Amino acid sequence: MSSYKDLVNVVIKRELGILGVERMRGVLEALNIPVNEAGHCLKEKCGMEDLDQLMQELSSRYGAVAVMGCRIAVGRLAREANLELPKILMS
Amino acid sequence: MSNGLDISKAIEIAPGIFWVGFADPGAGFHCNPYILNDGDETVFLDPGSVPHFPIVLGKVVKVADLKNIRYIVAHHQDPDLCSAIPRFEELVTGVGGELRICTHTRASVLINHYGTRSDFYRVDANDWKLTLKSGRTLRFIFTPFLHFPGAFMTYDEQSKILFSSDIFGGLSFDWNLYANEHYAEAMKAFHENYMPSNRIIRHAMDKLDGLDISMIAPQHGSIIRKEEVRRYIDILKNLECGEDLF
Repeated sequence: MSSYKDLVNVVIKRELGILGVERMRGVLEALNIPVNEAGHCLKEKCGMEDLDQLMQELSSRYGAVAVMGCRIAVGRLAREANLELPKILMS
Repeated sequence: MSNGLDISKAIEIAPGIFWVGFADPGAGFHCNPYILNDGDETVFLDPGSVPHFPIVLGKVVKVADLKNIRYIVAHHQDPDLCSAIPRFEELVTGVGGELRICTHTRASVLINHYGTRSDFYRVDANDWKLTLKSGRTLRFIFTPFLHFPGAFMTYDEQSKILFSSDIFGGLSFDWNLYANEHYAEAMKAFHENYMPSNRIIRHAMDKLDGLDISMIAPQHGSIIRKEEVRRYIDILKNLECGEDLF
């Protein structure tokens, strides 16, 4: 069963493709989200607020395209795991 | 620069075939027009939008003679690839050239609304191919509903390049002319948002089975090199999108 940490990892992986390594590193550093070399989140646990903060940061820096790019992938996983999504990922 | 390439200039991606697009560092959505020169005939694929027109024109005139542009291929009717067509028409006809717009009948009725004046070469009424004076053949591969009902791709039999229109396109702020190791995610993001279903994508991908493809040159995103072509086709064959998500 997926967790919020899995959702955060989906966002990171997707945004490495959309934003690239340098931009995504900047986002993660600003939020103090540690990742390993493969881009996996190293926080022990993540909650909906972590996912929300990550999406808000992406939105504020890079706008709607950055959010749109991962909304469907994250939404699909959340639905399978019956996890509530932050408002920014709903629509 | 993009992987050492000077993208402020037209880039030759194969002999006589040039990328002439605009790499906007602030955009997450790039458009890729291409020029194909064949003797004294030039084919201009997906010319681009009005805001990009001055930059694209500046590159086109460096690699092609405007009066030689005989065909514009419009893979569908969207403004990001078609809205500059009337401006190019004016320039080409202004220097004595004569061009036709290659597109599907379904797109032609909409492209008219940009104020185009050229005759259409309707790919669906011409056996899905265009043969240039030299004998070089461009084959058109029908990809209905990806994402427009009259969408198609163009396969150049000589270079074996597949000009894939929106298919294989990507959303990318980290744009590179050639796909890097993260491009698959950028491509998935685009297709999840713009394509109607896995069944419809798979129908199009099946048409590529057995086709010798030297590279995929999409209208958005990055060019996919030969060694990665089959991997990217497989990714799209298995991608859920559109109605699959309801």
